[in-house]
Amino acid sequence: MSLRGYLLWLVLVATLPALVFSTWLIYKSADEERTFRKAEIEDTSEILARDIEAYFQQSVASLEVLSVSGALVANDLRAFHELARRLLKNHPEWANIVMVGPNGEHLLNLNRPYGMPLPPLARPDVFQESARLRRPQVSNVTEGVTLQRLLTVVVFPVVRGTQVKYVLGVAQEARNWEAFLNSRLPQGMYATLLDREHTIVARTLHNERYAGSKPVGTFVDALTRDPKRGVLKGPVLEGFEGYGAYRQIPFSGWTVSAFMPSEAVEGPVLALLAQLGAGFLLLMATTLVIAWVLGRQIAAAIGSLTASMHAVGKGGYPLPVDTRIREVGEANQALENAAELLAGRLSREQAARAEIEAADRAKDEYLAMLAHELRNPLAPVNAALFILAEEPLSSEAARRARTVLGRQAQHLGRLVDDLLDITRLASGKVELQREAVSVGDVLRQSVEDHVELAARAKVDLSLDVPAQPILVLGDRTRLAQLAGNLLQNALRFTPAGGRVTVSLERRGGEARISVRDNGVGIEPDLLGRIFEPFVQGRQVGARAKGGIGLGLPLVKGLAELHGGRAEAFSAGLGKGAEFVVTLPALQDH
Amino acid sequence: MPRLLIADDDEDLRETLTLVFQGAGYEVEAVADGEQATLAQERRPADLLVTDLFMPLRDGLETIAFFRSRYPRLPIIAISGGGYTGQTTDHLSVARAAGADASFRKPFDMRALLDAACRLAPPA
Repeated sequence: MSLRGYLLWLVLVATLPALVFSTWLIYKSADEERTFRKAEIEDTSEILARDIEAYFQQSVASLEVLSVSGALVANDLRAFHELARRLLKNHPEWANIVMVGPNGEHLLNLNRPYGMPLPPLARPDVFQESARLRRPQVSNVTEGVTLQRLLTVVVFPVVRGTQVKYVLGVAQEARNWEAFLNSRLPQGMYATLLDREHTIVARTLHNERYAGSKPVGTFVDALTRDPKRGVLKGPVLEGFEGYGAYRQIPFSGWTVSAFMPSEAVEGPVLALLAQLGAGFLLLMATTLVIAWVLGRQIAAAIGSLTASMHAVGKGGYPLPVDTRIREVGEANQALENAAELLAGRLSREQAARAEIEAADRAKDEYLAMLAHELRNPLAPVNAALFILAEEPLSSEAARRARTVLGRQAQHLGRLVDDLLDITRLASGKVELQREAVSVGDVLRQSVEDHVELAARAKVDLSLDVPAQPILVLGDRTRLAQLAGNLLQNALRFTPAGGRVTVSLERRGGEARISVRDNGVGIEPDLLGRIFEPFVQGRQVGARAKGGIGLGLPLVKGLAELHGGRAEAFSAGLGKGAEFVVTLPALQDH
Repeated sequence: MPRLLIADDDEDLRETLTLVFQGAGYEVEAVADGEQATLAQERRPADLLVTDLFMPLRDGLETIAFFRSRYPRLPIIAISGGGYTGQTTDHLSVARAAGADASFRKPFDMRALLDAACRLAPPA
């Protein structure tokens, strides 16, 4: 699977618990919201029932106060009419106050002036019932005779001794109940008030249309099953789905129901669901976009890294990886380091191989040159032997031939000695016989030994050593060999008429030997390698005068064996050369 | 007495060759390099030139070429130890091509060299 695939899976796996939890939360919230709404409806029905009960009780109390008024006790109906009129004025919600006799005769009606003939009662039964039972009653809803409007009446029996003397009633317009209910309803909730016969007294929704009629059958069925209390769900008169709760009001036996459109119950829940759903979708979308962007960055970074690795794999250098991902950056840095290491190793290996090849070539050249140099002396030896064969042994020619033979034998011996020494130096087998040696003495002796050679080469050889001896702890023989090699080298590369100057001085704690000539000089290219074995300056169009390129390596090896160093200086071809050997000096004594 | 000019930077070889050729009846002048050979030839012309190929100042091939153009009838013998330091060219062949009449690789058979010299410039 590709990296992107894994990242997508990672996002899904990471967001799935959030999805499950959100769903559960939404469900739970919706359920709680619904439960809350239902509880609110039930509470409202409870409150309405209690308030209506209280209202009726208050009406009864008002009637009781009237019943014990002096006018009524004295049966002064004119005075009582006046009292009731004043009371009615203080109760705008009351439509009328009436009074009937024990046999149902209409005695008083506040809607008519006192003494005028009175119309028949709309609901005489309530008054009769009250008189019979001797307790207050609340009527069902009924149409008023005078006002032709729906009314309800609260009646109160006035008992004198054992007889019911009057029955007082206070009428109220049914539509007043609409305002009464409305003032107690929360926003979006409706209420219906039913009388004992399940006729609608008032309704906060379409009151004019439904007052006086019956509610939906399901409500009536529920009231039949449980008249005290209950909950309802189903279509209401208007036809929409509703949710409601009802309570019976104890004194009156009426029923009040509070209801809401199911939409209003579920609406906020649905709105909440929608909000939460939208929130979740937004979260998912944001997460996915961020995951996509991050995934793209990661995938791109890994892609660049992979390309970089391929480049290194093909022997190239890592490609630049533009990323803010630390690990990827570090990986590419490591790759760069590895590539550099690899390149470094490779170049070192190539350099080493080139060095080996160069050394190999130098050795081949050296062997060819060595053969040449070893064969060279054979020419004068042959010639000398020829002379010895041809001439009398005592002749001058024979004597000179013998001298030549001796010199050549010595020369060959020196060649072989040099070869042996360089081999032993290289393998560290040269042991120094150390003693305090005056460098000046060694140089003086060496110059004396080469005076004849210098004279033959027509080279001016001079020596400059300080009067105060400079001592080193060294091997006298080896130091003499070192000085001799330096001198032979200088003489070998200085043409006739030239000058070789040997000097010595103390510099700090060191003895500094300098052999300077104004000979052929050294090419800059050669200067750095001049102390390497088998390397030899090529004299201008000529072969070396009996040297085999080991003198200077011997000088360097011997100087280092003494804890010193050897250096060569030259301004270039034809500019002469200076060889300097520095040795650690012993303290002045 | 025919006159012989030897040019070689090896002092011992100069000395021994001088002795050998003097013994064979030549008047010998030996010099160390090509330039001196040129000067000697101008001073007193020789009848035969024996020259080394590798010498300082003016090397053998140059010397041969110079003598051949300046003294076309002068016989020349080239002697050499052969090249070194990887020079694969056969210098003696080059010397012959440049005009040397005979050539010898060191160390040479002295009798053969003497014979060649006698052929090119017979002694008195």
